This record gives sequence, C-alpha cells and structure tokens, in this order.
Amino acid sequence: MKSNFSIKVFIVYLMLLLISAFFSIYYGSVNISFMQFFSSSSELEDIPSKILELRINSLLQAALVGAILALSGCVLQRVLRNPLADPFILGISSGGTCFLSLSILINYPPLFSIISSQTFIPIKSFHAFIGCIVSFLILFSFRRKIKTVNDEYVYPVIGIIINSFFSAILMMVITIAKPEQLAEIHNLMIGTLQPITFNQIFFFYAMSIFPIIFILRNAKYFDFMIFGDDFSKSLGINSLKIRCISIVMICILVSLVVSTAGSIGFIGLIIPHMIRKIHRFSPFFECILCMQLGAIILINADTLSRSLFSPAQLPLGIFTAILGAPILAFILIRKQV
Amino acid sequence: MSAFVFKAEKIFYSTPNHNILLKDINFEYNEGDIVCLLGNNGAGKSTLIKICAGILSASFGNILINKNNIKCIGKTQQSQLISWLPQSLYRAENFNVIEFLSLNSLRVSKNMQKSNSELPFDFSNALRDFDILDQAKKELILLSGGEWKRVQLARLWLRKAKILFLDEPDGDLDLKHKINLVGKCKEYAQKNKAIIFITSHDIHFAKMVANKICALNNGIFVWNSEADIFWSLNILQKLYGLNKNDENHFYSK
Repeated sequence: MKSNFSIKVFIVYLMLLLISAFFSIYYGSVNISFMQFFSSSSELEDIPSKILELRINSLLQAALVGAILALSGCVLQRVLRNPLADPFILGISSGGTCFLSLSILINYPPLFSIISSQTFIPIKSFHAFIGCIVSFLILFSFRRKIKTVNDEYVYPVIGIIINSFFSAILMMVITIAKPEQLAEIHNLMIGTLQPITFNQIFFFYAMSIFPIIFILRNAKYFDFMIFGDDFSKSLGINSLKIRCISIVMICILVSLVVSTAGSIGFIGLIIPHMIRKIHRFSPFFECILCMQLGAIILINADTLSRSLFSPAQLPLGIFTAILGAPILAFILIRKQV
Repeated sequence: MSAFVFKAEKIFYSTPNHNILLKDINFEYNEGDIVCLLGNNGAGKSTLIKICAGILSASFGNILINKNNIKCIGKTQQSQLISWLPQSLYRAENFNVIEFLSLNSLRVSKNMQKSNSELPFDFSNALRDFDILDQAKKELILLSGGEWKRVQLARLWLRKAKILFLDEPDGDLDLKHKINLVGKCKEYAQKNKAIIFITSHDIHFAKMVANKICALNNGIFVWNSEADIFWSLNILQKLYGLNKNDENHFYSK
C-alpha cells in the first residue's frame, strides 16, 4: 500500500518553501536590510515598505502559479496516461496568449477602465482569460463531437489542433506588430509574472481554491485510472466522468495562471516527474508534494530573475527551464529501477 | 437463502458504428458453475464478458443477478459482486506487486491502512497460492508476462467476488501454473459459491476446468450444455471450421 501521508516529508518541503520565501523577500533589484524595514514600518508611505509590499505580492503570486502549474501537470499526466502531458497540452494557454497579443496589437482605447472590476482583474489578464475560456469551449465542444474509444488520447489531439491554430495567429500578430509591441508579446510568450495588486492576488487565490480542493478530493481515484478505463470501471469508478471534471477544473486553473503569468513552460512537465522519482506516495499526497515543490521552484526562479541581472528583470520562464532541466536529468541518472 | 443465479436475457450488442457483435444471447447459471466460453477469434467472447461484467452496457436485453437487474445495482456493490480479468492490462510504472494487490476497492484499502502491518496474512496467502511470493516487492514493469497474469489472478482471488469473469486467464501461463489454476478455480467456485466464466483457446484447459461449455460463433450463441455432452459430441470441427487434416493433427496428440 502506498502511504497516504508522511508528516516528515511534508515538513521538509514546508521548510524549503519558507526558506525560499525568505530569500524572495530579502533579495531583489534593490538591496534593503531588514533593519530598514522595521525602522520605517511606522510610516507606510516610505519606499522600503512599498518595496516590501511589492515583493510579498510577487511572492504570493509566484507560489500560487507554481503550485497550480505543478498540480495540473501531475493530474494531467495521470488522467491522460501520458508522461509528456503538461498544463499547456490542452491548448488552453495558446488561446490566452493569442487574444492578449491581439489586444496589444490593436491597442484600442481602454473601454474597460470604466468598469469597476478592474481593481480585481487587470485589463491584460482579462483578455488572456477570455482567450483561455474560448479555447476551453472549443476543446469541450470538439470532445463532444468526437466519438471514440480512446478517451485519454482525444484530449491531447484536440489540444494540438487548438495549439497550432492559435499559435499560427500569434505568429501572424508578431509579424505585423511594431517593435515596441513585440517586446511585450515576447515576454508574454516566455512567461513573466505581471505586477498585480493585493486585491488581485486575493481574487486569484479565491478563484483557485475551489478547483484545487476538488482535484485533491478526486485524487484517490487516479491510481485506478492509470490501469485503463475498463479496469477502473470494473471497480465501480466512472473514469470518463472523473477525467472530464478534472480537466474542467484544470482549465479554470490554467486560465487563471495564463492570465497573470503567461505560459511558463517546464514546471508542469518536470515537477511531477521529479516527485515521482524521489518519492513513492499515493496520488493524493503526490499532488500536495507537487504543489509544494512547484511553489518552491517558481519562487526561487522569481527571486533569481529579479536579482541576478538587476535592475533588468529577465522573464521567469527562462529560469524555470535553467533550474529544472539539470535537476531532472540528475535525478533520472541517479535513480535506479 | 436460495441459490445464487446469474442470468442473461436477450442480449444484443452493437458498436457505435452499428456493427452488430452479439445477437440474442440467453443463458442462466447457478452457483458453483464453471463456464467455459469457446469460439473463434472475433466471435464476441470478450465483448460478451465485458457486458456481463457491467463494463459495457448492452444495446438491448438484461443481465440479472439474483433477479436484480445489473443496472439497478449500485456501482460499489456491483464492483464487490463482480470481478473481471482483462485479456491484457496496462502495467503502470511506480507500482509494485503489493501496491497493485491493495488496489481493490476504496473501502477495503482504507481498512488496510489502519492495520499498517508489514504483509497482511491474506496477501501472503494469495501470493503463495499463485507462486509469486518472492516477487512481492517487485515492480510491475519488471515482471514477466506469466508472472503479471498470476499477480492479476491473485488480486481477483483476494477480492472474493461472487462472479468471476476471466478473459483468457491461461494465455501467458506455463503448463504447471495452468494446471494449478484449474485446481484454484474449482476450489474457488466451491468455497465462495461463485460462478466463474472463462474464455480460452486452449481446449485441454477448457476440458479440465469447466463443467459447462458454451460456444459463440459470429455473435450467436451456438452451444450451451454440460461439459460432458459437449466433449462426447466431437463438434469442435464444426465450431472452429477445421478441415479433416487439421482435426487429425489435433487428435493425433
């Protein structure tokens, strides 16, 4: 029996998470000693406290983005029975980036700024979110039309269709775009954390809490589903339904991530593999560990991207790949069996 | 309590492409029966077994267990009542034999966790029965074909379901384990008062294990009787479409 929970492993990852969080707050493009924070905490308008606020915001954002990406990668790899699945395999993100770059290209006068909801959702994110929802609707309307036995292969294939269509449009946008618009689109494609306010972070957390809980509650079935639909059906588990619901939840989560951070590659693909190579736990705990490790790696990548070449900020996606690839290669080489 | 009865009434099945695979299949079996289902490749044996096990639903007709329709029985209860051995099963990575055996139903696996003992008594017994005790900690992907089949059989034996559907259980087994399996099936059917359905292409195996024989040809139920009658009638030639030479080859052994 795979054990369902291990307090030791959980605490080790939690400690790592806290240490990374500390570094993320401490280091940045401007060096501020902690004494300055405490001395100036009384005056809220002070510069150090503003910087601190920004850093805490970006820390919270990075943690959630990393957790969501790793979780959805982990779930998709199990549900689609495909070790190459990552959160972007369903084509959700390409719709988001495509819509967002279109909005940058067209650059129409800000109609939405009148709407009060802008305190919760920035305009850019709003476009990305609409794009994600569009590709999400395409995915499910296609799924309904296609009648086939191999349910787990249908979703990636539709994802590829959506992906190639929207990236073609994106390429078209890039060819037309002016140089100053290009830089923005470029950042978006690699993945960078957009600066957001505390309200928006709160909204982000509130939206993602329900899908995450839902996925974790279904996680116990994933071990059965890996042996195939017929096998799980003979044990009284409706794997078609669980797969469909998990994918809906992941679509919501990925849309949120894409709308605040673009498509950060690699995390969703690599972290589940790392967890699976290092540990041997039930899918429920595996999901939790994936979320923790995803948050840790993304926080560190964020810290590095802010501080390494300061004052310039590099796109986050570069660092996730630089950090992730060697670690996975190392684990694959070391691990026997 | 009256005897346990498994009954199929007028089963028809067609694929989504409207190919009719099964036509008008009726049968009724009681507890203790070991039924062997014979037929050509593509005759519809596996499909029939999947329908009976509740994995596919029939296009028309009813499956009755003790006069209850299989559709009315709840999913969890159905999974406790029926076990199914697939013809071939995907081997997951990161799974060893014990972890696979504990994948029974969710309720059982919860109880298992509480006891937290090293190797539960049931498990080591079942593993010893199928001669795989020394492979208990081995990864599934490292098992040989026959060992993997035996692990799957051990899992079904642990579940103690009332109705077993074995889709070519003898496919990968060597002679020794095949004979062992015959004994196990007979013991299981008697001890648990169970019904066992077996599909097989091995006539000798079928002859040893079954007390009822039925045969499918092109989706039509062509034979259903006690085993002795079937073997005394020599109708294999007709069933499998053998010509004279083939038959001589078979019986000359």
